[in-house]
Amino acid sequence: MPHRDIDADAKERWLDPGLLRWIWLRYRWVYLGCALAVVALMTLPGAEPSGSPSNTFIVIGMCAALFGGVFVVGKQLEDGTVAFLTARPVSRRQIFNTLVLAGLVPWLLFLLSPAPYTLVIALIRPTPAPAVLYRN
Amino acid sequence: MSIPDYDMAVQTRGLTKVFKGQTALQDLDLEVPRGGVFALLGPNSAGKTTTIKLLMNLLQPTSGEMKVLGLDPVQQGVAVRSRTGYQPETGQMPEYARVGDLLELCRSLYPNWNVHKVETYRREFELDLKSFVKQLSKGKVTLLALLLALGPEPDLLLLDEPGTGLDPLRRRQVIKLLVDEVAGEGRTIFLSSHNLPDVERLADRVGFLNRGRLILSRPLDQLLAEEKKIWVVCPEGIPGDLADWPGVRRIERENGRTVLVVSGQVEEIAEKLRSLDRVTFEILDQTLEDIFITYAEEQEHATP
Amino acid sequence: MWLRVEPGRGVPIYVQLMEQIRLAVAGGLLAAGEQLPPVRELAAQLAVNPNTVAKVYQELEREGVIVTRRGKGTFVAAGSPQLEKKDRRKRLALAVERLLAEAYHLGCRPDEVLEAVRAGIENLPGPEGKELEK
Repeated sequence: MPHRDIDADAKERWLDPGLLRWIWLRYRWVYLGCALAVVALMTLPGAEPSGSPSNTFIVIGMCAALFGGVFVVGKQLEDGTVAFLTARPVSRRQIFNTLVLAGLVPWLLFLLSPAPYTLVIALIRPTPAPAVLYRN
Repeated sequence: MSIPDYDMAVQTRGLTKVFKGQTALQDLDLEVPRGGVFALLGPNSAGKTTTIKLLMNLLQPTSGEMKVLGLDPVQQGVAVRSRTGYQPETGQMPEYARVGDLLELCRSLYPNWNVHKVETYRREFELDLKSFVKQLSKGKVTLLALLLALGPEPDLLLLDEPGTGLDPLRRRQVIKLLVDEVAGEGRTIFLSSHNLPDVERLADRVGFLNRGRLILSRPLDQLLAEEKKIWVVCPEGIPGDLADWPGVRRIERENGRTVLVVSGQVEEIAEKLRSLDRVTFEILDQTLEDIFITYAEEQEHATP
Repeated sequence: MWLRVEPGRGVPIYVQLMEQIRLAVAGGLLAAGEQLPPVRELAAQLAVNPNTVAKVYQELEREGVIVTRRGKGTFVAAGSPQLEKKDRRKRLALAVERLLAEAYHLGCRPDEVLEAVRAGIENLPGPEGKELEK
């Protein structure tokens, strides 16, 4: 029995299960890499709120690399995908929702770690006293 | 949950598409009966790809209406696309995807995906499951696109230049395959091409598209039977009313010879010519290309 | 099968096929009672639309060149085709017209044409050749 019929257009799901599986199959290693990167960020000395400024820059740098990388990799992989999908029996809304979700996952992983809070605190906190630097 | 019954696989009325001031398609009135093969012919930029994309709802029409398999592609795009196999002219496939992954994806997207048939054709086309799309040659990409179009067991096949990048052997193979697919009941093939010999093999019905306008749409047999040129030799001059004879479109002069461009009524004209004194004539068969040129030239003269 | 189709010649494919089959039957290449492949098979072999093949079979059956036996298949009819005299004359006249047009272009004289026709008849294989000679 076909699971797609005329009524499908009327009562449409937000996300298509077939597409979700596709995204998972293609991106699972990328997501794993992001998760590991986030873990690395968490264990890096200076990632806690009291860390030294130089490490903060490393944190910022790594975040930029992480998300820049995800963006570039994502774009590369999905060249032609949207054109391909719009010709299939999925609606543009479902395609959009799925791709947005796919791009959001690294960010969600990032938010699960202390890294963002470290960043924010490092940015709004004044530079630590010189005495701290000379200690090491 | 049954689809409404339809007798026209494709039906358009006044279909128009304008891109940034450029009219790609003007007032298309087209009817493609169910079953059989319809070929849309025309030069590049005539509007063939635009037409197919409109039918798939990959483009929004500027005005006009259309029905595909009895459904409106704009309102019921998903339903239309789940019953239509689409083969784009080039590209439009994720470059960094493997053949196997694309087949898996389509299997989950289409309700009637035929795994067994897809596997059979995949082997015939020699497409390796592990190859990335980017690694495939142009011909293999075309074959992959065809495979993805055939897999859903569609009621309608929309093929945009199905011979792209294929060597003659492969092209013949594809034609045989399509012939076999159409012999199955009810399936309709709508293809666009500028390979006229292949079209002559496949098509039941042809349409000529030129500069966004449909200048002809007729069953192929009828077209070839009705469109002729007749060389006439009249030592005493041609009859005065020759241009008005029914069926005579116009009279041309080629190298001192008189040529009648005829559209229908060929037998009757031949009879009349035979009855005239000292008149010899020869009926020349016109190839599809000849006929297209005749009609395109007329169109050029009519709309400068 | 050895039938060939040449698209792009201006002659419709079904006409080409019909002529080839008629010629083969007249020349003895296709024997009476020999079976022709089913529509779908021949269409796939030749890479042409099955409707074209169906039309060819239909027309040839109407002319009496072939015959379809329900459930068994399509076969070459026994004996010579039973076209109406009127039809035969008309067809023959058209063929003669074409022959004369060709001869005209080649610059042949009428006696050259007659000689060529006579020679052709003498060379016809099979009983049909003998029939025409009478």
